[in-house]
Amino acid sequence: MHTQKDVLAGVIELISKKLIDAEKILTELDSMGDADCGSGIRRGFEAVLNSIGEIKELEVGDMLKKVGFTLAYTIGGTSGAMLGTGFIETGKSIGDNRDPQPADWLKALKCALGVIKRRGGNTQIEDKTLVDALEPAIAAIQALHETGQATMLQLLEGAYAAAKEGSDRTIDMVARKGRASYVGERSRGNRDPGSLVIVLMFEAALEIYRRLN
Amino acid sequence: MKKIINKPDDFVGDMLKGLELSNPEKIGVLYGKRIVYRKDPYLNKVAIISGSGSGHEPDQAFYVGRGMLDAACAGPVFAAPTLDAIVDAAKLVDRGRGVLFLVKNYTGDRANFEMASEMLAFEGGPVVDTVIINDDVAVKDSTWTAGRRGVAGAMFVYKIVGAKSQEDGTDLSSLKKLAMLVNDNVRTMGFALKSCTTPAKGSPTFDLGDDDLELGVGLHGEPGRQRLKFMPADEIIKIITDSVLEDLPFISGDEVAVMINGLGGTPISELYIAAGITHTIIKNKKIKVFKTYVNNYCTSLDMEGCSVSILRLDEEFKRLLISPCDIPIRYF
Repeated sequence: MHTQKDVLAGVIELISKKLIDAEKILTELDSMGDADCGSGIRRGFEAVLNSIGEIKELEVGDMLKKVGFTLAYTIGGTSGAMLGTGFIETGKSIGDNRDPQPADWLKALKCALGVIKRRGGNTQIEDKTLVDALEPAIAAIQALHETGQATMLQLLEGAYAAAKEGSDRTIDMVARKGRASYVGERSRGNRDPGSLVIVLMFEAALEIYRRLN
Repeated sequence: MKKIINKPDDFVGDMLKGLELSNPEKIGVLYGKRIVYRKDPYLNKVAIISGSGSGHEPDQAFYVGRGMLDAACAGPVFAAPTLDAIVDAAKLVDRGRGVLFLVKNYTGDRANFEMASEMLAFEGGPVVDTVIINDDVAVKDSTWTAGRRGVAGAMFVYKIVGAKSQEDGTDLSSLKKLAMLVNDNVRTMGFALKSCTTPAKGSPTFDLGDDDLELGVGLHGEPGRQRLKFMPADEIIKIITDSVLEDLPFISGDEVAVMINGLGGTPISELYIAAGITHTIIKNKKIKVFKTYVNNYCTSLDMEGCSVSILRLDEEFKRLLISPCDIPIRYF
C-alpha cells in the first residue's frame, strides 16, 4: 500500500522530468515574450530534483510548499511566481492532513487557482494564460467528484482531458495578460506555454496513478 | 553571437562582479541572490528598493547609492527577480523606517514583489509598501492588456524618491505619495531600429527588416504595437515626442525634464540628434525645458533605438532631481 506522500513524491518527480524535457517547446512557445520560459522552468525543476531526497521525507502539505518555494526561489519571472504560488497555496490548504481525500484536493486546488488569478492581476479565462488549462481541469474534477462515484484515477483522467482541451483553445486566443498582451493580435496562433505546463503536470499525475492501478 | 560573454548562465553574475570591483567603496553584491546594496552607512531613512530582470543596465543595479536606491534585485535576463531575493534585500536595507518597493508594471515583477510583501507581513517585518510605475504610452491601458509598462520614466521616480528619502523626517507614506505623483506626471514612448539578442537565445528576439522600425517596442524585446517603414530622424522623433506630449497632456507653460534614453545599441551621437529634435518640438509648444538627460538609462541589451520621456515638474521635483547622488555610473 502506497501512502499519499509516496505517490505525491512520484508525481513531483515525474512532473519535474517532463518539464525539464519540455524546455525547447516552451522556449519556442514563448517567442512572443522573450523566450526565457523554457530555461527558467528547467532551472526550477532541476532544483526540485536536486532536493527530491529531502522533499520525499516531508508530509503532503509541506512537500507541496517546499516544491513551491523551490520554484519561486529559482525560476524568477512570472512563471516562478505563478507556479510557486500554485504549489505553496495547495500545500497551505492541505495543511497537516496526511491523507487528503478528493474533496480536500479539490478545495486546495481551488484555493491555489484563486491566488494565481489574483497574482496575475485578476486573470480570467480567455486571457491566454495557465488559467485556461487549470480552471477547466478543476471544474472537471468538481463535476466528476459531485457524481459521488469517481475514483482518483477517473478524476485525473477528467482533469487531464479538460486541461488539454483548455490549452488547445489558447492557440486561437489573443493574450490579455502577461508580456504577450502587449502585441495584441500578433499573439494569436501560438499555444500559451503556461497552459502547456499545467497539461504536463496533470499528465504526470495521471501516469503515476495509472501505474498504481 | 559575438559578445563579451562567457557562459549565458553567468551573464548576470559576471556583470555584477565587474560592477562591484569597479565600485568597491560604493556597493556590495550578494551573488547567490543577486542583490546589489549600498555600502556607505546610513540610518534613520526609509529604504528604497527596485528590481526587475537584468539586461536593462544601468537600470537598476547601477542606480544603487546615496540619493537613489538602497538596494536592487537583479533577476535573470528579462525575468523578474526571485521571491527570496526581494525578501532578503528588504531585510538587509531596512533601518526600522520601512521599505518602499518601486516596481515597473510587468506581471512577473508585480507578482514576485507581491509575494515578497505577503511573506514579510507574515514574518512580521520589515514594513513594506509598493508603487507600480507605468509610464509607457505605447500600451493601451485597458482590461485587454497587462496595462501600461514601466519604462525609462521610472528613472525619474528612482531619482526623485531616492533624493527625498535622504531628507530628515521623510516617512514611508509620504514617499509613496511622492513616487505616485512622479509616476502620474511622466510619460514615455520609444521605438526600435533593431531587436536585441538575449544571451540564452543567442539570436534576435524578433525580426526587424532593414527598412522597418518598431514603434512602441517593449523593454524586453517584445515586439511593439506597430511596424513602420524606416524614416528620417525628424519624422520618427516627432511621432514619439508628440505621442508623449499628447498623452498627459503637456501644455504651454509647463516646465519639464526630458530624457532621451538609448536602448543599448545606439551611439550617443544619434541620441543627441534625437534630443535636438525633441527640444525644438517642445519649445514650439511653449513648454520650458528645465533639464535634459541624454544617455543609456534603461536599455534592452543591445537593442538599437531610443525612447523619449517627459516629466512635468514642480518646485519640489526640480530640487530633488538636481540634488547630488552617488551611484556607480559616472563619466569622471
